[in-house]
Amino acid sequence: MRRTSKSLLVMWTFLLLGVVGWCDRLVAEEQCGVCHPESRVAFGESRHAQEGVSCTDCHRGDGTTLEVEAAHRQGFRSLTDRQASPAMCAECHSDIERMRPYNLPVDQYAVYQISQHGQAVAAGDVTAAICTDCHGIHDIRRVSNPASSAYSRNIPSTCARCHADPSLMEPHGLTASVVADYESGIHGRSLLEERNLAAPNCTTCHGVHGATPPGIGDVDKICGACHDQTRQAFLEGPHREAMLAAGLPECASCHSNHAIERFHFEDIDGLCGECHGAESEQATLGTKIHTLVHSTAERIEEAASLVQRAERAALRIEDYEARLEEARTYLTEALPLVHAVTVEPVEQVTRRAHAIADEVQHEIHGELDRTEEHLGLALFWFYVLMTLVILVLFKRRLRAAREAS
Amino acid sequence: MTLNEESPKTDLPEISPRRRRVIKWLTGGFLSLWGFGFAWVIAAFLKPLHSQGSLGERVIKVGPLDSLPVGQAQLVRRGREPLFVIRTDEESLVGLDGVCTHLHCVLQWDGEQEQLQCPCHEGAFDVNGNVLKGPAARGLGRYRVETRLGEIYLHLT
Amino acid sequence: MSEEKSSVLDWFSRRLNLTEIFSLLTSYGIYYGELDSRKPLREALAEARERPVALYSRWPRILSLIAVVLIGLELLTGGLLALYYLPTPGSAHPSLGTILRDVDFGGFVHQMHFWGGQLLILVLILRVIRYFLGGLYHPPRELIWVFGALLLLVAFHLDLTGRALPMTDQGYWSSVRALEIVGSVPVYGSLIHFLVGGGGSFITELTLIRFYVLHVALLPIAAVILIYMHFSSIRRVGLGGDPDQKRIQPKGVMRNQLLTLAIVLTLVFGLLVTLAVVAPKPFHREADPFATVPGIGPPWYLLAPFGFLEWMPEIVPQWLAGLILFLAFMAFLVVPFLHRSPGGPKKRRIVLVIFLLVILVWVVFSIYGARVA
Repeated sequence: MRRTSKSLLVMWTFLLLGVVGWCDRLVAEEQCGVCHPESRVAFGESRHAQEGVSCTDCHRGDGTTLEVEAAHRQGFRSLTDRQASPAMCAECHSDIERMRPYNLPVDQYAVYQISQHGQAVAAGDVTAAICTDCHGIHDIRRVSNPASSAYSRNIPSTCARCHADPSLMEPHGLTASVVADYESGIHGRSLLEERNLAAPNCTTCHGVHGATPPGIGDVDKICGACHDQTRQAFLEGPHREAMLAAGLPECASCHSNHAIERFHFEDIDGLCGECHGAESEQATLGTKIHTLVHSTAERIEEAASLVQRAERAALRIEDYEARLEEARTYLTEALPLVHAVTVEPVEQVTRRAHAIADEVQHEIHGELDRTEEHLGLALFWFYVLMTLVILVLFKRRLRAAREAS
Repeated sequence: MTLNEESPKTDLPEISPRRRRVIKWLTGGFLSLWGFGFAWVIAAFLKPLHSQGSLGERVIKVGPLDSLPVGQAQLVRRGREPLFVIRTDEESLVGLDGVCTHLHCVLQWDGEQEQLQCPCHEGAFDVNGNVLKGPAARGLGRYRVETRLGEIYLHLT
Repeated sequence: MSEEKSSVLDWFSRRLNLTEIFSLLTSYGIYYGELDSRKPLREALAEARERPVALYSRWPRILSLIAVVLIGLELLTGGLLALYYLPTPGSAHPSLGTILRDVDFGGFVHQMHFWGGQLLILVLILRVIRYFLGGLYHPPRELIWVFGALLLLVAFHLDLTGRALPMTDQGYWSSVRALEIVGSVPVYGSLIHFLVGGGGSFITELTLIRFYVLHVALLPIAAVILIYMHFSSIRRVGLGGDPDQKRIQPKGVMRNQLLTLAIVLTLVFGLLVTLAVVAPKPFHREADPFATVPGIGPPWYLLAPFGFLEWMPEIVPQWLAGLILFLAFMAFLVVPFLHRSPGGPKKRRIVLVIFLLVILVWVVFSIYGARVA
């Protein structure tokens, strides 16, 4: 009993020392924050701190001491040099051993170096974006965290820090209106106001670390990444070759690149004339396509109001509503097909939608038809008049009989 | 106005008593139509309802027309009941109950002989549901089938 | 054959007082003569045939007949509809849909019920106007007027409660408007609110069933009682003082009257069927008590009070406007006590002028009410 308790005591002492030593290490970490409280607090909320990265892991130096000179020795680096900063991040973020547990990519620094931003920084331009400009310095959070400046909904405002500043953009020959344009357009409104996270932000089209804007001949591929049907239709049409030859950016020529607005069917009319001339055969083609789509949409709306009339006549309308939904779906397919600027693909879908609307209208007219009831009413009145004749005759006979007696 | 035995009362001509009776009966019958009319409307109104269920219970979407070759039949289920949709030629389709009216065995379609055959007691029905042979006494129930935009719809009502 | 007939009648007359039962017709204005219920039926009828009785088959008395016939028709069609209608908020609208779609002649019976009701109100209003212009409220005919006026009120309430039952958005919200108008009247309004069981501004589960019971049972019973009282007074006092009194026919009058009744019935029925077929009331969507539908006013006969309430400027408090309405209605009810003796032509002229003024004011406020709604 006594021997066991002795070895137990030794074991517990070692444990305690280990814990103290470990705590000591922890306590030692906190020394930087004594002089640098803001950074320490910001860092405390970051992803790095959660994963056990310490101040000295990036800044080196000695974090255990409170003496300034002692702390700032041992290879301390302040990291205010913008040119060297990305490489510092890459020390860990390009190291496969360190990144594998988190499954983070290790090629992003290499990608960054071939991007516009990376090349500018390598050439000595200190205003170009480095890692910390977008991800934050001490308060780096995961990109999926809504508080991160690299979160999808926050990206437009992050990019705007430079790209909306004329004093930074003009030296590079860029406009400072792109972010404002984007936010006014449909993609920006979808992402920022409607909070639709599937909407594209700057990085979706321009790339993340390898940020390079798409050039002429590439625009349709970028847009087509989401707008697949539209791109297919566009490729089948005559616009693609012609625009390439003319050096016009494909989608952006009509839709603009940042201030993209939703197109309505009504806009098609007269649109072709804007480039091709109002009297050109292309303008006629445009009017034809517009008429196809417009007349089908009108027919469907007519059918819809007829369905409402049927509802008021206490008819069952679920079947008609389902069919009209089918028709509307066909019509929705017409919008991307319009990009082929040929009549046949559009006509195929509008014909089906039109046929359904016609059918529905025809059937409801049949059900609402009241000729039968009116005929019945006429017969009834014939019967009523006959009855009245009989009654009146009878009455007159009675009166004559009375007067006679 | 004094009564003249020979001059007619009101404007009616001389009518024999038999004719008068006939007229009386006709008028009575005519007027009693009102009573019958009332009774008919009220009786029809009070008839027990067979209310139609929702659309899903009245129409079944069978599938695309192209997937059913001419002379073939497709088995469709309504709840636990089987029904057959048979494509008799290019344009026409017919819907029939899929159970034998004898002892409710599930039928099988024979494309060559164009019959629905019952494996239990060698019964057979033609494409109109009539009994061709076997112990069944009644024909099969028929259902309306229509095609719309290339899709087959079976109407259960 | 008449021997057989008489034996059947005799069998019944030995067990029931047939004359008394037949005189129910009298109580409800079908037959105006008095029957002595102590005599057997055939004798009483023969006696009645001999007795002089004023012709009521001509206009304007025919209005009473039409009113009674319409009430009978409403009872019949209403009874038929009630066999299918479900009075809970969730099932009311679908049950009416079933009636209109799946029941044979369901739509027809429903339209007859609706148009019968509207025609009934119109006929009752015409009767009131006729009684007023004919001075048929002077003593001893005060109670004829009072019961007639109350009958009109009951008819209004029947229509109001009936409108809410389908729970369509038009019907529901027009009922809510009507409730608001009735509720603004002091005393009576609070009574109605209490009866209807709700806060009055929207219809809860309890309110709908109260409406249903009022419409199907309580108000019809009230109507039947009032009709009985009304005609009882008419029979006691008579509607003398009109030209028809002079043309009294002694014999064969009842058969003549029955024939005229048949002719009138046929015409009214024909009119109703025509209305039901060519102008059917549409079946609107189900009402959502939480979504007010704009632009719906109260029923046509309440447009004038509605217009009046809307016209009153903001400074006039609600209770005061309601009080004015209440006083107006009370004045209408007690007309016989305000104008006791016929007086000379001068008084008659004043009465006519008042009448025209009232009509004018009513029409103007109705138009205003319709515009504001």
